[in-house]
Formats: sequence, C-alpha cells, structure tokens
Amino acid sequence: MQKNAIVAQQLYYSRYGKVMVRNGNLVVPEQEIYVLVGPDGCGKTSLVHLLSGMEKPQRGILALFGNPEPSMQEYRKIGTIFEKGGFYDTMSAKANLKMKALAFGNYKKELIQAALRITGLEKIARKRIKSYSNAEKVKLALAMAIIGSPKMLLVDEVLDGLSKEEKNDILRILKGFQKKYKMTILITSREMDSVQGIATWYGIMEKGSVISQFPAQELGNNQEEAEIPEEIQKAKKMKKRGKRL
Amino acid sequence: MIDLLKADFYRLRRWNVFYLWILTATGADLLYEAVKRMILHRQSSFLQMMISGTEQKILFVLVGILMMYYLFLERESGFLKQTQPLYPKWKHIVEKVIFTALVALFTEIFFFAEHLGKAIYFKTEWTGVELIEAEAFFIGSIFLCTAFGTVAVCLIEWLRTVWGSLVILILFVWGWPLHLAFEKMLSVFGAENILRYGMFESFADFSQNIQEGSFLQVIFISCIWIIGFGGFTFLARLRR
Repeated sequence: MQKNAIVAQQLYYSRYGKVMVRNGNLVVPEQEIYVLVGPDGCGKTSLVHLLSGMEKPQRGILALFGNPEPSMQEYRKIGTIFEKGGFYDTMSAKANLKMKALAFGNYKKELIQAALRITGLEKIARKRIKSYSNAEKVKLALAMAIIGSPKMLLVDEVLDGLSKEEKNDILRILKGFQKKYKMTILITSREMDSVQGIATWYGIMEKGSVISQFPAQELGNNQEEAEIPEEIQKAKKMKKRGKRL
Repeated sequence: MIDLLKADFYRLRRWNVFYLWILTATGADLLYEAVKRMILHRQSSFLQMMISGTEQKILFVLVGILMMYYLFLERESGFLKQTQPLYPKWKHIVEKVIFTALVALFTEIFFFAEHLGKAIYFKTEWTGVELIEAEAFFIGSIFLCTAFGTVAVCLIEWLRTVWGSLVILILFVWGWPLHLAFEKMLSVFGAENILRYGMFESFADFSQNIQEGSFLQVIFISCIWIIGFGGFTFLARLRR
C-alpha cells in the first residue's frame, strides 16, 4: 500500500480577519509529483506555508509522513522553494549553499558540489546572485532546497515569469530530483498547461478550499474523493481522547 | 542552535557592509578624537561632560542599527522564514541574542584596541589611560543593550498582533533611557560611590547634575534611539 507524505483535512487559517485557507483537504502520496492548481489569491501559498510549518493551522488535521502531530523531525524532511528564495543577493551561490548547510548542521563539500551539479550552476557558482537571471535564481532555490536532504519538496509558483524553455529546464530538474532521490514533490501553479508533462496527481483549489484531487491519468474524468486515510482516522481518535493536535 | 550561530557568523564574514562599517567607524572615531582635543583645549567643563563617553554610545547605537539591518535582510531574503519550522522559537531568539552580543563584544574589543593605539600614539597621561580602562566597562552595557534590542526585534518579528508589538516597543522605549541613566550615573559617580551612598541618593545627585549636561545627554541619545528603533519597527509592521 502506498504511503502518504501529506494528509490534511479541513485545515483552516485566517490572518488579520481574512480567511486564507477555508477547507484544506489534501492527500499527497509519497514519491509522486502533485500539482496544486488554482487562480491567484485562492490560498495556494498559504496552504503551502501551513504544510511547511511556517504557519500553524487554526483548525483541522495535518499529518506529515504518517505522523498526525508533526514535529521538527518531520519539518526537517521538507524542502521549500518560494518566491523569496531564501538566499542573499550579495553572496555567491556557493556561499549561500554553505550557509544553508551550516544552518542545517550537515555541511559537506560533496553535498554542495552535488547540488550545484544537478542544477547546472557549477560554472556560475562563484558569481554573486545579483548578476543571475530569474531562471538561475530558481535553480539556486532548488539547490538550496535539497541541501537538507529532504524527502519532500514544496515548490510555490516559481515558474511564473519564466520562458517556455526555462520552465521546461526547471521541470526537468524537478523530475530528476524525484527519480534520483525518490522525493515527493508538490508544485503550485496558476495554470495546468505549464506543468502537465510531469504531474502524476492534480489538486484543484478555489477560494481557500481544495475542491477536488485526482491522478493525472484520469485527467478529465470525474473522480470520486479519496477514502479517509488511516492517518486521519488515527488523529481523530486522538482528538477524541483530548490530546492536543 | 550552534548550527544557526555558525551560519550567522559565516554570513557576517561574507557581508562586506560589516567591514565597510568598521573602517568608517574607525575613521569617524579618529576624526572625533581630533575634534575632542580641540574642544578640551578650551577647558570647558560642560563640553567635557557632554563628550565624555559619547563615542561609546554612538558606537553602540551604530552597532544596534547595523544588527537590526542585518536581521532585516535575513527576514527579507526569506531565509529566516525557511529555518523557522526547524528550530523552536526560543532557540531562534537565544541564538540571535548570543550572536549580536558577540558581534557587539568583538566590535568593542576592536575599538578598545584602536583607542589603546591612540593613547600610545598621543602619549596620553595616566588619566587618559584610565579613561580607556573605563571603556572596557562599557562592554557590559553594550553587551546587555544589544541583546535587549535583539530580543525586541525577534519578538516583534514573531508577534501576531499590533498590540503585542506595541507593548514590546513601550517596554523598550522606557527601558532604554533608564538603562542609559544608570550607566551614566556609574560613569559620573563611579560604582564605589554608588555603593557607598546607595542608589536613590546617587540618582538624586545625578538629577541635580542636569545643568552640567549629563542628563541632557541621556535624553538626547534616548531620543535618537527611540526614533531609530520606533521607525524601524513601524516600517516593518506597515510592510506586513
């Protein structure tokens, strides 16, 4: 039976009185490439923030890698790529990677070399980020995300503003990650077309709610909602017993 | 936490602004020394009081601003946000306190050496050397205040409501002049006298000393700090 990397049920999150995520229902099977599609402002980024642990849901259940009460151990298995790449423009790619590796407590030269090689940044590794193109910055964000040897990547709308060739290049790298490191990848996107080639699962989001999800091969067919996974059942039982979630 | 500290120091080593700042501050300090000598030449006790220990305070304010800018860049880059789920909040705060306090300490040691060099070059008398010795005393206050400032920044960064950050700001704004007053009291009367006469009596004497400028100096530095820190905080809040 395939395990799930993420199981989220009825996640709710509001900020300054505005509801960002109303009904975050999501099941992401391990080692799949899951694409979450939705229009601007539908809550994709907020949902990804909840999944990565950057924000805490005010209601709902979130299980990561089978743990219904995710701790720092689970969050360490997640690499994130956001609009703000988490790097410093005044430093080189190599220095940024070293800094991230030090913060994670796993600095190894070979690891940095491998991250640069797989993202094709070897030749410009010593240049300052200021001089990088948008695509190169996205590649660096990918390299930084894999520095902590994550089991899952959350990629939030990084393909926007890139040319078709650049998008294909980034998707090729992501596909490579998934194959080489057996990673689970969740990508958010405004449109389905740009990520169609690599997606194995789709989720559709609208007005803060995930309204449907289905495997890529069934695209276009009516798909019934997935059964309630065992992680959710386990979490519900714990909640009944009065344990904090 | 040690990992975060290592990463922070690595980033600081790569941050050219830090070296530029050290060079500028050294230049400014030498210029200040020349101006001070010109003023002291006039034998004015009021001016003497105004300038005694000013460089340390200015230096401290600059270290504080530099550190805030450093933390601000960290937040803007998204790095802080990405490492947030990996460590508990208290570890982040403690790490930043230790980091900025160490930076303040190292900078002060650097300037202590620079002052010592100055004293040797100008062949200063014992009183001058004594003053330099006294400067080492400021290490403690710089250490404490930068740490305090950092805690405030960290708390504001993570506080969810405007009211919460306002409470921290008020605490900081009121706490800062009190600390400066205490520190100034020590430098004017000396720790020995304060211990002999008691805190309240010394404070009363200190308050009477207003015509000599020490109290005005405290208020002046406090105002600069309040404007700088308050502006930074509210700009950060507005951006959210």
